[in-house]
Amino acid sequence: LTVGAIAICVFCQLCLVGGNLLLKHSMDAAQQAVVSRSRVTIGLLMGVILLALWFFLWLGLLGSWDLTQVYPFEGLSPLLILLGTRLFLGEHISARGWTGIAMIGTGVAVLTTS
Amino acid sequence: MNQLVAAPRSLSSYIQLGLNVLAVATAEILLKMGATSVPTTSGTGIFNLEALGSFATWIGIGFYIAGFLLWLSVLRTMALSQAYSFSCLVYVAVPLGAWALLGETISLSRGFGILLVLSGCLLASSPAAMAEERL
Repeated sequence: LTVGAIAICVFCQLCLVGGNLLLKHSMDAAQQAVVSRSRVTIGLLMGVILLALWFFLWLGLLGSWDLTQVYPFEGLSPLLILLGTRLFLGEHISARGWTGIAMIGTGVAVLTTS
Repeated sequence: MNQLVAAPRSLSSYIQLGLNVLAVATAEILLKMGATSVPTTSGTGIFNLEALGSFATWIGIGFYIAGFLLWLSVLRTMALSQAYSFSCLVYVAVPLGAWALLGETISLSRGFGILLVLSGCLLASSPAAMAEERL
C-alpha cells in the first residue's frame, strides 16, 4: 500500500462520513415545516455527491488492492461518525456505545490483518 | 415509558437496517466480482471505470441504491451514530459472504474479529447506547 493509496483511503472515509452527516441533517430538516424543501434537496444532493465520490474511489481501491489491505480503513468510519455526530448533530452516546464502537474498530482491525 | 411508545417504530427501523446490511453486503461482493473480472490498465487514474463494463458491477450498484433508500428511511427515525453502529454488521456479513461465495477462507483470528465486530454492533446500536434516551 503506497502513501498515495493510504491518503485516498482516508479521504474516501471522510467522504463517506461527511455524506452521511449531510443525509441525516437533511432527513431531520425534512420533518420540520419551517425548513424549505429546496434546502432539504440541496443537502440530500450534496450528501449523495459525497457518497458517490466515496463509491467510485472505493471501486478504484478494490480494483488495485486486496480487500484485506483497504478494509482496515473502513474500520475508521464508525469512530469518525461518532465524532462527526457529536460535533455537528449534537448526538451523545453512552459509555456502552463507546465500548461497542471500540470493539467494532478492534474487530475490523483483527479481521482485516489476519 | 417513552420506549414503549417508540417500540413499534424502532422495531421496523431495525428491520430496515437489517435489510440495508444485506443489500450493502451483497453489493460489495458483486463489486469485488465486477472489479476483478475486468483487466485494469495499470496506473491510469484513481477511479476504476473499467469495472463498469462488468454486469456484476451494475447489479451491485442496484443493491447499493436499494440499500441507500432503506438507509434514508432509517435516518428519519434513528440517531446516525446508532444506525451507523448497526450497519457495521456489514463487516460481519461481507467476510461470511466472501467465504460462502468467493471461496475466501476464515481463519481462527478472523473468526475472532468477526465475533468482536458482532458484539460491538449489538452493544453500540442498542437503545441504551444513546445517552439522551436514558433521561
